Amino acid sequence: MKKRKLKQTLQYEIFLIPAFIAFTTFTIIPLIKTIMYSVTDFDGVRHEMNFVGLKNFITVFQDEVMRHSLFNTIFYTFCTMVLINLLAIPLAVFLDKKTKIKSLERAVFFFPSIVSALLLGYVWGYILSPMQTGALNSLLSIFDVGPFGFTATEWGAKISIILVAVWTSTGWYATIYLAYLQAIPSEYYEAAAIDGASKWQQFKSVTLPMLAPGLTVNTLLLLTNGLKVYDLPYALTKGGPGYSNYTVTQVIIQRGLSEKQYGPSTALATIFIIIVAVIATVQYMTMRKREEDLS
Amino acid sequence: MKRKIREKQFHLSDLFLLPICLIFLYPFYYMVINTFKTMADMSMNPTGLPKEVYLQNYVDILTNPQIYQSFGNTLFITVCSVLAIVVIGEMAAYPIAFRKSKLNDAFMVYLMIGFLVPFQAILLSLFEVMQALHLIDSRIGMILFYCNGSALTVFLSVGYMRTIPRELQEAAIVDGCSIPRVFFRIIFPLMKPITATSIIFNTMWIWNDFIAPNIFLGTRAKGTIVLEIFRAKGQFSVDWPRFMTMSVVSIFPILIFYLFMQKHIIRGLTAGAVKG
Amino acid sequence: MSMKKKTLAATLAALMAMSAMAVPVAAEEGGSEANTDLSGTLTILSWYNETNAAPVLEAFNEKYPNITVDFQYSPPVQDYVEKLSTMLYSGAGPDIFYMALENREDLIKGEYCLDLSDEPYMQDGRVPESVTTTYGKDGKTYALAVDCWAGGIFYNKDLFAQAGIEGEPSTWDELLDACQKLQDAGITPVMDNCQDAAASFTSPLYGSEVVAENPTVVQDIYDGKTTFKDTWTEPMTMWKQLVDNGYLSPDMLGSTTEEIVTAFATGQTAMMITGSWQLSTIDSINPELNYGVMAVPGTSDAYYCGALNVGLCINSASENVELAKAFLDFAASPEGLEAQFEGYGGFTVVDGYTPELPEEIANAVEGVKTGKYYIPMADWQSYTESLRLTYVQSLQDCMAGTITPEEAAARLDEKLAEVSAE
Repeated sequence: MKKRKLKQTLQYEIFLIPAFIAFTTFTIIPLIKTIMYSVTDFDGVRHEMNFVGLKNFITVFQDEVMRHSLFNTIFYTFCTMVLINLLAIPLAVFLDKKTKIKSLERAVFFFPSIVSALLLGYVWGYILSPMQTGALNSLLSIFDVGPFGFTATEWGAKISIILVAVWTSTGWYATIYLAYLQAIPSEYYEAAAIDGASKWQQFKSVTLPMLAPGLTVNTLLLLTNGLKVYDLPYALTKGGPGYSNYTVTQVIIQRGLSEKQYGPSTALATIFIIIVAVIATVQYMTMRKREEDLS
Repeated sequence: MKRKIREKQFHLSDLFLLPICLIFLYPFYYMVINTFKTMADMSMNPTGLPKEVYLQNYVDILTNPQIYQSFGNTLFITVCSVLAIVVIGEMAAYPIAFRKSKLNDAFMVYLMIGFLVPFQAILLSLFEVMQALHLIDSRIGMILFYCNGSALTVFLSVGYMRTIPRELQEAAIVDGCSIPRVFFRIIFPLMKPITATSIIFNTMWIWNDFIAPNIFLGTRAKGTIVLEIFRAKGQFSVDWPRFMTMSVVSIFPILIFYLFMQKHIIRGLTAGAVKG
Repeated sequence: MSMKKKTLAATLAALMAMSAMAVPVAAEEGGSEANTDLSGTLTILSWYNETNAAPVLEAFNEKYPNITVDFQYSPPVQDYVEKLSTMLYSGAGPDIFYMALENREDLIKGEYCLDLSDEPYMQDGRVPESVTTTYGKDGKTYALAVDCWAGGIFYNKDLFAQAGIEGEPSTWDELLDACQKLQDAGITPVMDNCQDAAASFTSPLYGSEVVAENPTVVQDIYDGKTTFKDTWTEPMTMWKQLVDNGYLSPDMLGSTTEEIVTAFATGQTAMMITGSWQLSTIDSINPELNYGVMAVPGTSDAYYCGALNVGLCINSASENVELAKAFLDFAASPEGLEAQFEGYGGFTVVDGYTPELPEEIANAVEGVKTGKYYIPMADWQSYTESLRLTYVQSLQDCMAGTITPEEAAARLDEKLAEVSAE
């Protein structure tokens, strides 16, 4: 009997093996190597390295560009997370009607998220060009204003990047919310209506609580995607002007591969991984708790 | 009843959603309209309609065999990776969903780490590993690398699988079905909504991925369509209409995929996400 | 870009056909005696894209029909440097790759390149000494560079005339006057986005104001006798006057180089600063444009932008050294030089082929040949890429007005201190 049980268990656990191999090879081993490199003077050129303790980590905090990139990435993540959620929920509510026009509208809002962020960054680069012939500037010239250098200042570029990201992804996250909305049984609303609840009260007492798991999923996705951002800012401003809009990923790649400062680069990566893990865990825990409180 | 009444052709919210739609589409209008212009026409008149419709851009792009090769590569890599992700991910979810054990809990944590570590952060070490396995500049290498992306599928699948009645498989086991057989014959077909969701998420990611192919695929003949756009930006950088044409052409396949999957997107997400 | 280069190449080819009687065309002889002894596959990571490299590969395959070239390309500078270093480090390096000023130190330090100093083209004096000094160390030469580029202020002669400017400004003050005149005439004087460390106002100014006085200034900085701050503040302050007086709009930081070239070619700006690789682009946008290239005038002397182009290297770990050597031999031969000129558009410096220069750039090429140019990356022998990136970013920040020229110069010192502490 016991033997059969063991055999059965093995038959189950065997299913874990492919995923285990993929993860170990492509994530865990490189992760361990990265952390190892972060405490050495390895430079990616010579095949030798010496242990240097926490020196590289001190460099990260002394280095303006690295600190700045941490700020930029977290700022970008926070802003896109808040803005996209704020816009996607009402958008989903408005799109949750069954008319012909609605399915057209859904398609329109969803569309930017199926196109590569790199390409969208380039196209927006043309639109936001400071030249008189830039698309937005030539539109504005009808009203006799401009031309403006939208991406020429630190904050102009930051805001442009965030707004383009919002434009790109709101439709996608609204679609996820829409899925949750459509799963709400219409009886809930009918019951609330019978109780004399107004539209707003129905939204507050039925829609929002039912959207809570959607909020958890979306926020987690927005967080992890935001912290990993690279393509869009790279295509739109190359991190400029100066290094005012460098993302962590961009700095890791530039420092590690171009400048051969592999130690500080991997130290930044290590710090970054810790930040991502902490933020995501805290977020997930609080959201789960709130969901439980709500339901 | 109530829903029925709302089912009309037009809704109040359309009054402001439709104009927003138009603004939303503006960048695409800008992109498409300029593909029909010559360089001179575009630099004089970047936002208006073309003076006369110029089709040479499309002829040039579509007669270049490179673009078909890149499409082929992208299609191959995306389809294989997505299939692998779905199968690997749902397989891994199976024991986790149905057997509570320390090993399985530990594995979930392991996966969570994988999910949270941005791969860009471990790039050079990853490159070393892939090099050691001779997976650099190889389409198969890309596919194996993308298998890493199965974590999300595991998370979604575990939640959904737990809603599948246990009796269903227990009956099969009593009938003498082996466990792998139970999985592939009974469980896997029931996972359709999650499979659809996974396909959508991963296709969008892999088709449009830039950073990994840029680093792991060197030869142009093996490159993906996003790499072709990146190249085109350098190559025709002054010839914006050609760059825009290249972009429009590159969007086409994913647009078809979207139109094809549109119905499944919401349905898949509804079934998958809600229970997940 | 390649499209334009091709147009230029075609024009030049036509020009050359006319003077074919004067210039012996070596390609014919080369084509006839194909070498079939060597065979195999040669991998190359190219600095130039497929279109530009096509004439070179074609000519090479004509001569060595049994060698297959496995061609890879990554756009310079940063993407190329990153890609190559990842490949080399992990042992997946191509047989042949390019050495640039930006990766010279790492390639030599990592011992990735074969010493070429005993090769026939180095021995017989066809390759000028500047190649050895730029791409060599301790008597060894690691790269075969065959051409150079030149650049400076591209200016629109018609717009200059329209604003009443006679001749080329020969001092910095005259240049500022010219800008004022252009602005008074309602013409945008100059556009620049500070993305290129090689073609910038400050680099030639540093040459004429600082290096001309003290040729070893960079060594002194590395030795700690002086600082970047003490030497770079002056040229950066001079350049900043363009921004402060409104001649150069900081809005241009948001533009791409291609947009600026288009604006110049269509007469929307009177000046821009760039290199010879844009000649063909201008030609393709507006072949009628009446323009010239002048040096950046300093207080007493005027320097151009320019440098030796990238050079071919053989991977020291290559298993196809014989094939790779054949490729470099070919690159230094007259037909190879011609093919490279046709494809890449650089100005040949190796003996054996003399290209016809477009008249706009002739003075600049002459300036570069006589040493009247400055490129900081050639002098920054160590930590080149770190310093280059800091330099470009600091110029951009200075242009945006977030830091002063003095602070911008001081950032180079901070960077040097940081990287040399490793």
